[in-house]
Amino acid sequence: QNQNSDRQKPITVEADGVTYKDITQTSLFTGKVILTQGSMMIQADQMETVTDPEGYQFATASMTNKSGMVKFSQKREGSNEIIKAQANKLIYDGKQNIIVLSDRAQMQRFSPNGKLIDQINGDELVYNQLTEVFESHTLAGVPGRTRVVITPASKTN
Amino acid sequence: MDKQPLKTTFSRWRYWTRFHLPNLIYLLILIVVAAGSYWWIKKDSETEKPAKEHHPELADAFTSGMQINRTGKNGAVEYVVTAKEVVHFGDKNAELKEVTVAATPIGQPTSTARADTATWSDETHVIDLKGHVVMNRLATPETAPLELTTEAMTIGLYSNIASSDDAFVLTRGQHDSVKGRRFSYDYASRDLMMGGNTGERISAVLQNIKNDPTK
Repeated sequence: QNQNSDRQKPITVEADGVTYKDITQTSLFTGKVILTQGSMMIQADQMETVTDPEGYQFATASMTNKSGMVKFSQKREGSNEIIKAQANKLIYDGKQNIIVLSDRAQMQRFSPNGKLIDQINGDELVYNQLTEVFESHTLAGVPGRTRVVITPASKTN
Repeated sequence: MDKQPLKTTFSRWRYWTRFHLPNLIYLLILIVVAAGSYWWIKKDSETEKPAKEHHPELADAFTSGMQINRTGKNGAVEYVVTAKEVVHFGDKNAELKEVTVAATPIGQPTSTARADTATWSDETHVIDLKGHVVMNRLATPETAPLELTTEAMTIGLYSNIASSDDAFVLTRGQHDSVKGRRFSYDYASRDLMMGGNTGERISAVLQNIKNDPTK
């Protein structure tokens, strides 16, 4: 595994304030919250982090004002492509190294020079940081479909 | 037969006794009551000891190697305060040196705060700690130990809140830490509020154990 990969790096969180509940080991960060881990960045209005008994970190990011979206971005290892995603809610699972985006979720992949390669929309998108694979799920009872836009590689690439 | 009209003569004496004498009697009664009560108070105050001269700036007691166990409403020990030196002043404040304040809330791990100096106010039941303030919460089976360092912190013995407006560093276990300004820690609920309206950001570092190189 690439030693310099994002997952080897500590998670840093910046915010205006935080309430830490020592008994449940949960922290609620509020006010322009920015979580970074290597090249991965999550931005939201508030974020609750939990440490499970084994020491794995979990984070749930959401927006307090309905107009904004939780934003996620990360550089893909080895290819320098950029993954950008957004949704109303984002869950980071440090144990399985997956990111779950739900409620108006959208993922975009950009080439190193910033060109949009493909885009996927869905009710729920699950991004596996280990395999770098995105899955799109439709939620039961939620009218919606998955829409994928794949840009054909141009001759110059 | 015509009635002879009543011949009235105006008697100054009768007028005075009718209209002025009662007022004079009232006045005399009041004077007697006033004099009596004055005498009564004067008698009492003479027997009182002279009040102690009040010099808040002067130390009126001192000790060394002090330990005070402070109990809560239920009688259980809530705080254990120790100090190497204590000087008490007439304005109800005590100045402590090399201080520890151990909070022992029921059902919760002990949290001990240490500092170079402290001021303990009898009036507000608050201990103001200053200089290398370090507060440790012992580890529990579920949680790693907690340590909080700052330069000044206030402990409310009645409110059970330790708070500060200073910069602080919080560490949990070996890796996780939070830096910022201003915090408020509730000994009973163990909730710790940090930052907020200070114009400075809170910065936290969390280690995901999966990526812990030492594991």
